[in-house]
Amino acid sequence: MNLSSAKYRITYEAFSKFSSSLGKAETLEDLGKTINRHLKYLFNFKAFRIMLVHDGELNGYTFTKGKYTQHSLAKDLAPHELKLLANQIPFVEDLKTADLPEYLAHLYLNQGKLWGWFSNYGKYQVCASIISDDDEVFNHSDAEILHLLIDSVGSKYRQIYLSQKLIENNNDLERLVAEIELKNKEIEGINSNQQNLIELRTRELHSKNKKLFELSHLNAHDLREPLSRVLGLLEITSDLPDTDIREAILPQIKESAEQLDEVIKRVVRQSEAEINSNIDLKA
Amino acid sequence: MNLKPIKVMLVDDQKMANFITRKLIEVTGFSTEVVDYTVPQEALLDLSNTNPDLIFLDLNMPEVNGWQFLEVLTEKQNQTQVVIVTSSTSIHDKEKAQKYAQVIDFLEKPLTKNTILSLKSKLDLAG
Repeated sequence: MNLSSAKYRITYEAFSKFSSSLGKAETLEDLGKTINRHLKYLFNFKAFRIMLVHDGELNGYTFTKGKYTQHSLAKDLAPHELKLLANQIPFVEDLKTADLPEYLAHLYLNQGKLWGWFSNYGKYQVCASIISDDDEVFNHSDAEILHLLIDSVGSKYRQIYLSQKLIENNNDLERLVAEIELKNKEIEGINSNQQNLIELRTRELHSKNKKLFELSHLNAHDLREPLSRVLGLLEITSDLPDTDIREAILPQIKESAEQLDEVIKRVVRQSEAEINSNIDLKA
Repeated sequence: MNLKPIKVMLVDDQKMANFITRKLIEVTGFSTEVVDYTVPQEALLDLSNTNPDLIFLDLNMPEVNGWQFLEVLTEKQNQTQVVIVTSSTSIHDKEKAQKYAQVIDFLEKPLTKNTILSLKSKLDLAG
């Protein structure tokens, strides 16, 4: 086994461990931590940066030895990344220590190089860049493992991103369901009020019907009672002598006629009172 | 016309109504034996003594109305036949009256000689 194949084997074992850890990452923070822990076993670098653009959102990390910074703002994109997003052409160029951005100012470069790659996965794009030098040598043969890393991280990032969107959507749905439940309760309340109103109106109608029935009964009996006596008295006059009619029957006819008059007056008064009470209710 | 003597009880709170019915019964020859009451409770108390064949019963009376009177007869299992005589023209009253086995007729006031004669014919046929 020569040196190159030994390195190859060790690197792929390291990548296998990295993939296994990556599978357990559930958040973007977990993702950053996992990459940070395994990166040094995959290739040499002074700094490694990966930026992921997805549905107009940006997320990314900058790794130096032992520590990393997370990015989520468009203004965090470096000039070479903007260029990569525009022309999508990988590059490698010399980089001096003096040209390092402020957040990497603590690094010293011995014949520094900046490498840049762009990968388009359709739904999302990835910009990866490496700063290396003669102390931490990165060469073209390491590009293969780097691309495997980009694929794995990109894929995991999309899985986490979609899972978070799903949680957000579920939260939105829960809010909607809660709103619907609230509206249902309002509707139930309205229905209940209407039911109460219907019951109230039904009671009013029952009450009015009862009054009408009483009035009708009053008319049927009280009005006809004295009238029927008048007619009854007239019926028997033909079988009585004139003196009986004059002395016994006529006074009784008069009395019944007067009673009839009283009842008529009372019926008119009650009818008017009922009409007035209905007008008051409507007002 | 071969009539068997019939004993009639009149129950109406209006004295004048009883007076008219009694006269009509007399002039039509419906009966010669008539007792009248303006207080239904008294009529019920005297029922076993007077033992009438037929009761002319008013419906609308204070204290004890015609319906309550019929209820007492039912409770006592008294089978005396009853003719309702009322100034009510209510269909409800007519329907209600049909529920009592004792009630054989429902007559609306004012009674006339013809009404009494029709009732007499009905009873003759039945008797």
